[in-house]
Amino acid sequence: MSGNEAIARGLYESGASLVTGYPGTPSSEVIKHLAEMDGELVCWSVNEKVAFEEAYAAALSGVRSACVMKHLGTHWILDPLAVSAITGISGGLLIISADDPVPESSQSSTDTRNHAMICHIPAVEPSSPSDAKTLVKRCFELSERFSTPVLMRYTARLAHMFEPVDLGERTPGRVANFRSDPDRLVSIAPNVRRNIPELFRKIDEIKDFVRRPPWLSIEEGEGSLGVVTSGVSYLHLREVVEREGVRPHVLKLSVTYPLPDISDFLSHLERVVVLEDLDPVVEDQIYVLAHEKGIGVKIIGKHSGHLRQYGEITYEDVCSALTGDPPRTMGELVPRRIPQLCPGCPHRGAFVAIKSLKEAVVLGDRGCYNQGGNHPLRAIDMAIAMGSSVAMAIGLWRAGVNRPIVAVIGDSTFFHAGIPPLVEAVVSRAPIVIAVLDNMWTCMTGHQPSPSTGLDHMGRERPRISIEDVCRAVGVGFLITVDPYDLKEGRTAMRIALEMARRKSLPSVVVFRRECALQSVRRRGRTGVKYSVGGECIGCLSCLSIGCPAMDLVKGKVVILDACVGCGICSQVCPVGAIRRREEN
Amino acid sequence: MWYLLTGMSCRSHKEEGRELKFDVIVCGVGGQGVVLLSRVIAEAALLSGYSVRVSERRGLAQREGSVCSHVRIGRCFSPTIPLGHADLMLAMDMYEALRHIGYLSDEGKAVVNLSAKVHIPHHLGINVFPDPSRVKALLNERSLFIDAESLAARLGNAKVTNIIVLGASMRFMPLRRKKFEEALRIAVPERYLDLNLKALREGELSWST
Ligand code: SF4
Ligand code: SF4
Repeated sequence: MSGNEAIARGLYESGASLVTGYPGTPSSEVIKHLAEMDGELVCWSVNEKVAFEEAYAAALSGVRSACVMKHLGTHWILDPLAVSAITGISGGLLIISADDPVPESSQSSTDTRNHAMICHIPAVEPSSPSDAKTLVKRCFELSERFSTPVLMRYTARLAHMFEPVDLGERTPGRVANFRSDPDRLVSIAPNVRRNIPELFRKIDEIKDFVRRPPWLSIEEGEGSLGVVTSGVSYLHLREVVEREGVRPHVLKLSVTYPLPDISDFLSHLERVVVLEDLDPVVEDQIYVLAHEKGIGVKIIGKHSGHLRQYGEITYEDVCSALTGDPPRTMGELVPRRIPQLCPGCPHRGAFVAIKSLKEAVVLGDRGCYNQGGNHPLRAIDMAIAMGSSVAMAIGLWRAGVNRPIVAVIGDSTFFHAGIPPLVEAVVSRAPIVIAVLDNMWTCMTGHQPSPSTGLDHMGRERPRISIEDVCRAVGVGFLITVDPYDLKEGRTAMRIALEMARRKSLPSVVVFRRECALQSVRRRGRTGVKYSVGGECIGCLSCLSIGCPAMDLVKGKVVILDACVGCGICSQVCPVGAIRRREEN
Repeated sequence: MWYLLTGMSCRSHKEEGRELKFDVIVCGVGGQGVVLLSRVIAEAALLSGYSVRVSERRGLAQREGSVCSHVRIGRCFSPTIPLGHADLMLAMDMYEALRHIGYLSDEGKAVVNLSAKVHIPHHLGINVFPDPSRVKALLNERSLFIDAESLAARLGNAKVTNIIVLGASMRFMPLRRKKFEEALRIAVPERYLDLNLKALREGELSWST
């Protein structure tokens, strides 16, 4: 069972009644697995803030609930999260966030535990899948005991690590029962001022409550070296102890904020190594504690320069921090593989069309389509965060950038964070072109439904929201929908869209619509259409520059492989018409 | 007979009071079946009564990225294999074998599929990959090469290339063939089972041909 599945199982067994989320690698599989256990418990929300608020409301009505997201998603929920800490809850509420320390698939590698500190709620960290399952249950108990939301932070490593996990029975879910309590739940300043002291009393009580097992555990060692550890670094530490013959005293924390009083452990040590992924959250608290209690222990960690403040803590890092030897590293003997859009990806056609606008600044967003920024397609100039493309396009125009400005955004991202900047673009009269790449799924994270899919996570029909209707309602100046497989249509649409945007001083929208090629093959099978290169080929390699993985160069000749799904985009870029369509049965 | 022998040798490990420890790196390019391979090995180990921990790095598997799985059989703690400690590597591609060779211990063996898959930018002079013959030479000392693709083609389905590599690697693992067969039964759909069992056998016999 993977870490993600173990968390899902923990939620299931704890009797959670509602688990919401927005997909994001590495956390997406939690909801997928939970849906397999009971599809009625879960819901993919339009964005993380909505997901959190749905779960928060459920918790206020007495049932157990959770929301699951990646670290980037937690940036969107801070406002209501801070309030939820003040109002408290009735049923247990967990925020489960997967950090990406490396990062492997994120635009930043922030440490979610900081949010727990800002909002004054406990941060809990599992170190293995079985630990995660057990901790989910305990977190619900902690949450209900102190009427506080609890943040559970785990990492990509734990999400995609597998081990056998024992299964238990599901505790039945509770019946929702919302009791009005306006003095607590109407967050106007006088109420908040009255309730805030409570928050600080609670966090002190929690600090005291988690001072003992099972919230922490101590393994006696020899000598005067100690280690305080949490998360997956605990497992690396155990391995180092076994292999290197070091015998430190070990304190493993499940709650990393607030740090319980561990001065008894620290006071017997000469040196203590602090192991944690990303920011020195525990380490900082240890400095404060040591100072308060006058403990002279030498702290080895990120501030002392022994461990990096960024990246994942590896076995080699732990080994080096304990033994003092430089960490073993692996040289880069082979260049990195540059990811490409899939064979037949509709985004490829959209990007070829967008690139035909001379001199354009192209802003990407967050999704599969960012692969279009890689070599050899190289079609985008920047990609920042969810929804940023549209807003930053307006910013470029306001700043006076005098080139055509194109914002590219996917369907899921459009609904997540693209609509407010679209409104802004219209009211600002920004003459930008917005290309909505609608492939009808949230693909990057494993093909979850988006509002443009028309299906829910169980494949049942639900209302499909039309991107065109939204654009019309907002009042864009020009709107057109094209098939990205038709390059001529796409290029013409982009040209006219730019002209109209300039003429009307309003944003234009071009919707490139076609279902994701992978999903289309999965749902309807292959079409039987393939393309192949004929004898007319002059070897100019123009077709390779669109980066289709179904093409290869063998002994100087372009060949099309079996992976071809027959989109025909390559045949439209070949200057001599050497790539031809053929039907297969 | 070899599997009986390895089976016995790992029993004797236990009799001496030592627990088994066996670390396998499985690597390749997205779409080459690395994830399935690592799960079959893990399943076979579980069926043999060992504890197992697997850690996957899928990256952008769907999108031509490099993929690597750590399978840790027996007593272990870290989810990842410490550098220089893997006992065996199964590589679906020579470049990926070289990329991950640092995990292999000095005595460790690599079973490497003779494919050298470059990415598209290579052909346009971007992130150019080294020459396959050079890569092969660098790997030579610790590797056994197998042309699993041709063998799979002979069985009529390129998809089982990974299982052929597994068949060829079985002799280096302290697990019986029976357990791999049982694991395949669990991991692959019924209608492909025969083909996969054949591929396992084909890989196993590949050394003698
Ligand atoms: S038609 Fe051309 S671009 Fe489309 S999938 Fe086949 S090879 Fe790739
Ligand atoms: S674009 Fe046409 S002529 Fe040029 S290499 Fe490709 S197939 Fe040959």
